[in-house]
Amino acid sequence: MMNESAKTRIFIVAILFFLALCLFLYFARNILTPFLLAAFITYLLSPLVLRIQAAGFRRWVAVLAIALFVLIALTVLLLFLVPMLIREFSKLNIDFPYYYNFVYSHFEIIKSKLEEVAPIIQEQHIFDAAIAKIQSIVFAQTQKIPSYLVSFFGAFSMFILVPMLVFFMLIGGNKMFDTIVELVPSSSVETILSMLYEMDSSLGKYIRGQLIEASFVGIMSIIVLSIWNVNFALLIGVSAGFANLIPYVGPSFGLIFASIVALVQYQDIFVLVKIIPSFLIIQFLDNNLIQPLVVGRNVNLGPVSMIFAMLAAAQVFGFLGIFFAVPAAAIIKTIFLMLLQKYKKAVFY
Amino acid sequence: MLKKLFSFIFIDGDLKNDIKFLKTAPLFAGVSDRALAQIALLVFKKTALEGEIVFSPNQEAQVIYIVKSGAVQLAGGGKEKTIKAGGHFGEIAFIKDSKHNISAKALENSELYLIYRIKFEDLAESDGKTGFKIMKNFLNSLGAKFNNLEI
Repeated sequence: MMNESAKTRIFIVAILFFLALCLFLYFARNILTPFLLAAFITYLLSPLVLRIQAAGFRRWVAVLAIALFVLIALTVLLLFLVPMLIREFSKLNIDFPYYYNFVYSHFEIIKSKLEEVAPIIQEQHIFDAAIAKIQSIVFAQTQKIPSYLVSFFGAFSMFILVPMLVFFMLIGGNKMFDTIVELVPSSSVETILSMLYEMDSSLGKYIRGQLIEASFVGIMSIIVLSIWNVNFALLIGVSAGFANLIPYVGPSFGLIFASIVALVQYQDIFVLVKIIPSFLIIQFLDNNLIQPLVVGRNVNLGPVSMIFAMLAAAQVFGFLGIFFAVPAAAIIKTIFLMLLQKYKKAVFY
Repeated sequence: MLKKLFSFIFIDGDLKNDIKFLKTAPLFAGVSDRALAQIALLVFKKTALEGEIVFSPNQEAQVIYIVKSGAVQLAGGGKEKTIKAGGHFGEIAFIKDSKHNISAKALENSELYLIYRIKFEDLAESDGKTGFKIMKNFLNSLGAKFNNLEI
């Protein structure tokens, strides 16, 4: 039988162990993506599991029911949406040189006009150097995109590992929370619980809010572009929705993508009079209608820390890190604030 | 026979027992089975060992405790009280940002069910009827502690 000081000792050892685990995870970061993705999906699905469980069923029954439902939904999606996307993708592949030439020739016109105004630009070959630089970056990056996708969403991890992990995480459920609660000394359980739940609620609200917003922006973009009869409406809409998950830079992505496609398609600058206001209206609706509805999208992170978190995560975890950066930073902030409060109290009393 | 097998395979027996227990707690009198199932799914179970301090004065109150088994002694303001199985304590957590002003100590190895305040509030918000019933039970137990509530 444990006495109280033994419990406290175990608790301290557990914290040290947790820190060691964090260090280990840092070194194993390359294989972390499927786990993070699975945790993310589990997080979204677990309220549904609880709801079915509340009807009295065992947990695995609930999980199995959801798994079947998701499987059916995915099959439907794959049967209808994916062929459409693939069609647009292959069309884009064929049309890409055309689009490229269009942008390039217009760039040439702007270049010669500017050089007339300021001859120094030509003397110093500023434009040529800039073009060469942009070309090399764009080509290098676009060539990398497939390998990005393959490395992160390798067929194995994407289609087998992630669903499997989600399944087991859902079956396992809140065991981690339960263990933590059982392990900590009774006198600190209230603090630990409030910390866990504060993280839980800010994270949950953020993730749900982001997803609702992303789907709103994606669907609205598809509708608007279909109304204006712009090519690749589906492709642009879906990518605009995904890009919307990235704070600050994301929302402009759809606008730029759509503008270029529309310019090439209609060969007329006035088409932008339709496109730009449409996207601004979508962003306006998102900011003023959807965001207030989806309470708690705000994770109380300042713009500077948000940008820092995104860049740092991209550096450490690669491209997908951008999507996980903000919630992770929110968790760290919650823990830090909690510790700070404890520290202040310890100083005062 | 088949029905028994079916319910053994698909129905969660532990949850059923938890519901049965919560039903006996005065705090949950009159609450529907379905709501009790939701509550049972959000409780945390914790064992307090004999002599272990559950909370002490000045600690922030976030959790409502229900005693599943064993006994917990509350002490403060020169008074003492023992809570036995089915009883609850720490209800001050229902009041926002409150702090404990008594101490609670397990008299024997006790199994406690912990309900975190904010989780309970979420439940009460989505199911107002249940929330109201529990708050009414809470007020009744609170009222019983005061001799004169009206002044």
